[in-house]
Amino acid sequence: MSESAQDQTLDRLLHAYRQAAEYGEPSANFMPELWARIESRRSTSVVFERLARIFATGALAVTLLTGVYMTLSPAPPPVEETWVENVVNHQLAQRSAYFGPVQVQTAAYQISPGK
Amino acid sequence: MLVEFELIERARKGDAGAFNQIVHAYRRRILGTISRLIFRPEDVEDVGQEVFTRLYFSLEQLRSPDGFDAWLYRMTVNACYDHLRRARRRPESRMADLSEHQILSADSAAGLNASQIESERSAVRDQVSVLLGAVSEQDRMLLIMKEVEGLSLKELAAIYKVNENALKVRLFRARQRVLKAMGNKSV
Repeated sequence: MSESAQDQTLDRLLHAYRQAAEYGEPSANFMPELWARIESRRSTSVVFERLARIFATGALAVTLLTGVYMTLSPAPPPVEETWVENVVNHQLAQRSAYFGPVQVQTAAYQISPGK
Repeated sequence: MLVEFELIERARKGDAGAFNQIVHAYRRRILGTISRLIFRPEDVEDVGQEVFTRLYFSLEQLRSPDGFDAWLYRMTVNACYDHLRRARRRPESRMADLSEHQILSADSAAGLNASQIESERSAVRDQVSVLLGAVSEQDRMLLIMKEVEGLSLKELAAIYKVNENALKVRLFRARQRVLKAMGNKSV
Protein backbone atom coordinates (compact mmCIF):
# COMPACT_ATOMS: atom_id res chain seq x y z
CA MET A 1 0.00 0.00 0.00
CA SER A 2 1.37 3.45 -0.91
CA GLU A 3 1.91 6.07 1.74
CA SER A 4 -0.97 8.29 0.61
CA ALA A 5 -3.30 5.31 0.41
CA GLN A 6 -2.34 4.39 3.95
CA ASP A 7 -2.96 7.98 5.00
CA GLN A 8 -6.43 7.86 3.51
CA THR A 9 -7.17 4.50 5.12
CA LEU A 10 -6.13 5.86 8.49
CA ASP A 11 -8.34 8.93 8.03
CA ARG A 12 -11.31 6.73 7.11
CA LEU A 13 -10.67 4.45 10.06
CA LEU A 14 -10.45 7.35 12.51
CA HIS A 15 -13.63 8.85 11.07
CA ALA A 16 -15.40 5.50 11.44
CA TYR A 17 -14.05 5.29 14.98
CA ARG A 18 -15.77 8.54 15.90
CA GLN A 19 -19.13 7.00 15.03
CA ALA A 20 -18.27 3.58 16.45
CA ALA A 21 -17.32 5.03 19.82
CA GLU A 22 -20.22 7.46 20.01
CA TYR A 23 -21.73 7.48 23.46
CA GLY A 24 -25.52 7.46 23.70
CA GLU A 25 -27.62 8.90 26.49
CA PRO A 26 -26.12 8.39 29.94
CA SER A 27 -27.97 6.13 32.36
CA ALA A 28 -30.75 7.46 34.58
CA ASN A 29 -28.43 7.23 37.56
CA PHE A 30 -25.86 9.56 36.07
CA MET A 31 -27.08 12.77 37.72
CA PRO A 32 -28.00 11.29 41.14
CA GLU A 33 -24.62 9.54 41.31
CA LEU A 34 -22.85 12.73 40.27
CA TRP A 35 -24.53 14.71 43.07
CA ALA A 36 -23.80 11.91 45.56
CA ARG A 37 -20.14 12.13 44.57
CA ILE A 38 -20.12 15.91 44.92
CA GLU A 39 -21.78 15.71 48.35
CA SER A 40 -19.36 13.03 49.56
CA ARG A 41 -16.35 15.09 48.44
CA ARG A 42 -17.82 18.21 49.99
CA SER A 43 -18.33 16.45 53.35
CA THR A 44 -14.75 15.14 53.24
CA SER A 45 -13.45 18.63 52.64
CA VAL A 46 -15.66 19.96 55.47
CA VAL A 47 -14.13 17.37 57.86
CA PHE A 48 -10.60 18.43 56.80
CA GLU A 49 -11.55 22.08 57.19
CA ARG A 50 -12.89 21.44 60.70
CA LEU A 51 -9.77 19.51 61.70
CA ALA A 52 -7.55 22.28 60.37
CA ARG A 53 -9.60 24.86 62.31
CA ILE A 54 -9.33 22.80 65.52
CA PHE A 55 -5.55 22.52 65.14
CA ALA A 56 -5.21 26.23 64.43
CA THR A 57 -7.33 27.15 67.46
CA GLY A 58 -5.32 24.74 69.65
CA ALA A 59 -2.03 26.23 68.50
CA LEU A 60 -3.28 29.75 69.20
CA ALA A 61 -4.48 28.75 72.67
CA VAL A 62 -1.13 27.15 73.54
CA THR A 63 0.70 30.28 72.36
CA LEU A 64 -1.52 32.54 74.47
CA LEU A 65 -1.20 30.32 77.56
CA THR A 66 2.58 30.26 77.21
CA GLY A 67 2.59 34.05 76.90
CA VAL A 68 0.42 34.44 80.01
CA TYR A 69 2.57 31.98 81.97
CA MET A 70 5.75 33.82 81.01
CA THR A 71 4.22 37.11 82.09
CA LEU A 72 2.87 35.92 85.42
CA SER A 73 5.64 33.53 86.54
CA PRO A 74 7.91 34.92 89.35
CA ALA A 75 10.97 36.61 88.01
CA PRO A 76 14.29 34.85 88.71
CA PRO A 77 16.61 36.52 91.29
CA PRO A 78 18.56 39.30 89.68
CA VAL A 79 22.07 38.37 88.76
CA GLU A 80 24.52 40.88 90.05
CA GLU A 81 27.34 40.05 87.79
CA THR A 82 27.55 38.18 84.57
CA TRP A 83 29.53 35.00 84.18
CA VAL A 84 32.27 36.85 82.32
CA GLU A 85 32.53 39.44 85.05
CA ASN A 86 32.59 36.63 87.62
CA VAL A 87 35.51 34.91 85.86
CA VAL A 88 37.44 38.16 85.49
CA ASN A 89 37.01 39.01 89.16
CA HIS A 90 38.11 35.53 90.17
CA GLN A 91 41.24 35.84 88.01
CA LEU A 92 42.08 39.19 89.49
CA ALA A 93 41.65 37.82 92.99
CA GLN A 94 44.06 34.95 92.26
CA ARG A 95 46.64 37.24 90.70
CA SER A 96 46.61 39.51 93.66
CA ALA A 97 47.29 36.53 95.97
CA TYR A 98 50.46 35.49 94.11
CA PHE A 99 51.66 38.74 92.71
CA GLY A 100 50.75 41.17 95.36
CA PRO A 101 52.68 44.40 95.74
CA VAL A 102 56.26 43.76 96.75
CA GLN A 103 57.28 45.50 99.94
CA VAL A 104 60.88 46.50 99.83
CA GLN A 105 62.52 47.07 103.16
CA THR A 106 65.46 49.37 102.86
CA ALA A 107 68.42 48.85 105.31
CA ALA A 108 68.80 51.69 107.66
CA TYR A 109 72.35 52.99 107.64
CA GLN A 110 73.39 55.44 110.18
CA ILE A 111 76.16 57.63 108.99
CA SER A 112 78.17 58.85 111.84
CA PRO A 113 78.86 62.52 111.55
CA GLY A 114 82.55 62.22 112.45
CA LYS A 115 83.59 59.95 109.57
CA MET B 1 -19.52 27.35 23.98
CA LEU B 2 -22.72 25.45 24.69
CA VAL B 3 -23.86 27.60 27.63
CA GLU B 4 -24.00 31.28 28.51
CA PHE B 5 -21.35 32.62 30.85
CA GLU B 6 -24.15 33.95 33.05
CA LEU B 7 -25.14 30.30 33.73
CA ILE B 8 -21.56 29.52 34.75
CA GLU B 9 -21.59 32.57 37.01
CA ARG B 10 -24.74 31.30 38.71
CA ALA B 11 -23.27 27.81 39.12
CA ARG B 12 -20.15 29.38 40.56
CA LYS B 13 -22.27 31.07 43.22
CA GLY B 14 -23.68 27.68 44.23
CA ASP B 15 -26.84 27.50 42.10
CA ALA B 16 -27.37 23.73 41.73
CA GLY B 17 -29.94 24.20 38.97
CA ALA B 18 -27.46 26.17 36.88
CA PHE B 19 -24.81 23.50 37.40
CA ASN B 20 -27.31 20.83 36.32
CA GLN B 21 -27.96 22.77 33.12
CA ILE B 22 -24.23 22.94 32.37
CA VAL B 23 -23.90 19.19 32.90
CA HIS B 24 -26.92 18.53 30.65
CA ALA B 25 -25.45 20.71 27.93
CA TYR B 26 -22.02 19.11 27.97
CA ARG B 27 -22.48 15.56 29.18
CA ARG B 28 -22.98 13.84 25.79
CA ARG B 29 -19.99 15.59 24.30
CA ILE B 30 -17.80 14.86 27.30
CA LEU B 31 -18.93 11.24 27.62
CA GLY B 32 -18.30 10.75 23.89
CA THR B 33 -14.79 12.13 24.23
CA ILE B 34 -14.09 9.94 27.27
CA SER B 35 -15.44 6.90 25.47
CA ARG B 36 -13.03 7.49 22.58
CA LEU B 37 -10.11 8.19 24.86
CA ILE B 38 -10.27 5.32 27.33
CA PHE B 39 -11.57 2.41 25.19
CA ARG B 40 -13.64 1.02 28.09
CA PRO B 41 -17.37 1.74 27.70
CA GLU B 42 -18.17 0.38 31.17
CA ASP B 43 -16.04 3.08 32.82
CA VAL B 44 -17.21 6.05 30.76
CA GLU B 45 -19.90 7.31 33.16
CA ASP B 46 -17.61 6.92 36.14
CA VAL B 47 -14.94 9.08 34.51
CA GLY B 48 -17.62 11.50 33.31
CA GLN B 49 -18.89 11.96 36.86
CA GLU B 50 -15.33 12.57 37.99
CA VAL B 51 -14.92 15.28 35.34
CA PHE B 52 -18.10 17.08 36.40
CA THR B 53 -17.23 16.74 40.08
CA ARG B 54 -13.86 18.39 39.39
CA LEU B 55 -15.67 21.04 37.38
CA TYR B 56 -18.00 21.74 40.31
CA PHE B 57 -15.16 22.29 42.74
CA SER B 58 -12.97 24.33 40.42
CA LEU B 59 -15.54 26.65 38.84
CA GLU B 60 -14.22 29.46 41.03
CA GLN B 61 -10.85 29.25 39.32
CA LEU B 62 -12.28 29.98 35.86
CA ARG B 63 -11.08 33.43 34.86
CA SER B 64 -12.59 34.10 31.44
CA PRO B 65 -15.67 32.63 29.77
CA ASP B 66 -13.83 32.16 26.45
CA GLY B 67 -11.62 29.49 27.91
CA PHE B 68 -14.44 27.36 29.33
CA ASP B 69 -14.53 24.68 26.60
CA ALA B 70 -10.75 24.25 26.48
CA TRP B 71 -10.68 24.18 30.26
CA LEU B 72 -13.36 21.47 30.43
CA TYR B 73 -11.54 19.46 27.75
CA ARG B 74 -8.33 19.74 29.73
CA MET B 75 -10.13 18.45 32.80
CA THR B 76 -11.54 15.59 30.74
CA VAL B 77 -8.13 14.64 29.36
CA ASN B 78 -6.60 14.75 32.85
CA ALA B 79 -9.39 12.61 34.31
CA CYS B 80 -8.85 10.09 31.47
CA TYR B 81 -5.10 9.99 32.22
CA ASP B 82 -5.84 9.40 35.89
CA HIS B 83 -8.29 6.66 35.05
CA LEU B 84 -5.86 4.92 32.70
CA ARG B 85 -3.13 5.15 35.35
CA ARG B 86 -5.43 3.56 37.92
CA ALA B 87 -6.58 0.92 35.44
CA ARG B 88 -2.96 -0.05 34.82
CA ARG B 89 -2.49 -0.76 38.53
CA ARG B 90 -5.84 -2.54 38.89
CA PRO B 91 -5.90 -6.15 37.61
CA GLU B 92 -8.46 -6.58 34.84
CA SER B 93 -11.27 -9.04 35.51
CA ARG B 94 -11.32 -11.81 32.95
CA MET B 95 -13.89 -14.44 32.05
CA ALA B 96 -11.86 -17.05 33.92
CA ASP B 97 -12.31 -15.05 37.15
CA LEU B 98 -16.09 -14.87 36.84
CA SER B 99 -18.60 -17.30 38.29
CA GLU B 100 -20.65 -19.58 36.02
CA HIS B 101 -23.73 -17.44 36.57
CA GLN B 102 -21.86 -14.26 35.65
CA ILE B 103 -20.51 -15.88 32.48
CA LEU B 104 -24.01 -17.03 31.44
CA SER B 105 -25.51 -13.59 32.02
CA ALA B 106 -22.63 -11.90 30.17
CA ASP B 107 -23.11 -14.30 27.24
CA SER B 108 -26.83 -13.72 27.05
CA ALA B 109 -26.37 -9.94 27.26
CA ALA B 110 -23.81 -10.14 24.48
CA GLY B 111 -26.18 -12.28 22.41
CA LEU B 112 -29.00 -9.78 22.81
CA ASN B 113 -26.88 -6.78 21.84
CA ALA B 114 -24.92 -8.33 19.04
CA SER B 115 -26.39 -6.81 15.93
CA GLN B 116 -24.60 -6.49 12.64
CA ILE B 117 -23.91 -2.77 13.12
CA GLU B 118 -22.67 -3.25 16.61
CA SER B 119 -20.26 -5.99 15.60
CA GLU B 120 -18.89 -3.75 12.83
CA ARG B 121 -18.47 -0.90 15.28
CA SER B 122 -16.80 -3.21 17.71
CA ALA B 123 -14.38 -4.31 14.97
CA VAL B 124 -13.52 -0.67 14.21
CA ARG B 125 -12.96 0.05 17.90
CA ASP B 126 -10.69 -2.97 18.23
CA GLN B 127 -8.74 -2.05 15.10
CA VAL B 128 -8.21 1.54 16.24
CA SER B 129 -7.34 0.37 19.73
CA VAL B 130 -4.61 -1.91 18.34
CA LEU B 131 -3.24 0.72 15.95
CA LEU B 132 -3.17 3.49 18.53
CA GLY B 133 -1.47 1.11 20.90
CA ALA B 134 1.65 1.75 18.80
CA VAL B 135 2.02 5.25 20.26
CA SER B 136 2.35 6.54 23.81
CA GLU B 137 -0.70 7.36 25.90
CA GLN B 138 -0.09 11.10 25.52
CA ASP B 139 0.32 10.91 21.74
CA ARG B 140 -2.70 8.66 21.41
CA MET B 141 -4.87 11.15 23.27
CA LEU B 142 -3.49 14.02 21.23
CA LEU B 143 -4.16 12.13 18.00
CA ILE B 144 -7.72 11.32 19.01
CA MET B 145 -8.42 14.90 20.07
CA LYS B 146 -7.15 16.15 16.71
CA GLU B 147 -8.22 13.50 14.23
CA VAL B 148 -11.34 12.09 15.87
CA GLU B 149 -12.70 14.91 18.03
CA GLY B 150 -11.79 17.41 15.33
CA LEU B 151 -10.20 20.02 17.60
CA SER B 152 -8.08 22.65 15.91
CA LEU B 153 -4.39 23.16 16.67
CA LYS B 154 -5.31 26.41 18.39
CA GLU B 155 -7.77 24.63 20.67
CA LEU B 156 -5.26 21.88 21.40
CA ALA B 157 -2.59 24.46 22.18
CA ALA B 158 -4.98 26.02 24.71
CA ILE B 159 -5.70 22.62 26.27
CA TYR B 160 -2.11 21.41 26.45
CA LYS B 161 -0.60 24.85 27.04
CA VAL B 162 2.14 24.33 24.47
CA ASN B 163 2.80 26.14 21.22
CA GLU B 164 1.23 25.00 17.97
CA ASN B 165 4.53 24.09 16.31
CA ALA B 166 5.44 21.66 19.06
CA LEU B 167 1.99 20.10 18.73
CA LYS B 168 2.39 19.78 14.95
CA VAL B 169 5.66 17.91 15.41
CA ARG B 170 4.17 15.58 18.03
CA LEU B 171 1.11 14.91 15.89
CA PHE B 172 3.21 14.22 12.81
CA ARG B 173 5.42 11.76 14.68
CA ALA B 174 2.45 10.04 16.28
CA ARG B 175 0.73 9.70 12.94
CA GLN B 176 3.89 8.30 11.37
CA ARG B 177 4.11 5.67 14.10
CA VAL B 178 0.48 4.68 13.60
CA LEU B 179 1.03 4.44 9.82
CA LYS B 180 4.07 2.28 10.42
CA ALA B 181 2.01 0.02 12.70
CA MET B 182 -0.62 -0.15 9.95
CA GLY B 183 2.04 -1.14 7.42
CA ASN B 184 3.37 -3.84 9.72
CA LYS B 185 -0.10 -5.16 10.29
CA SER B 186 -0.98 -5.38 6.60
CA VAL B 187 2.35 -7.06 5.70
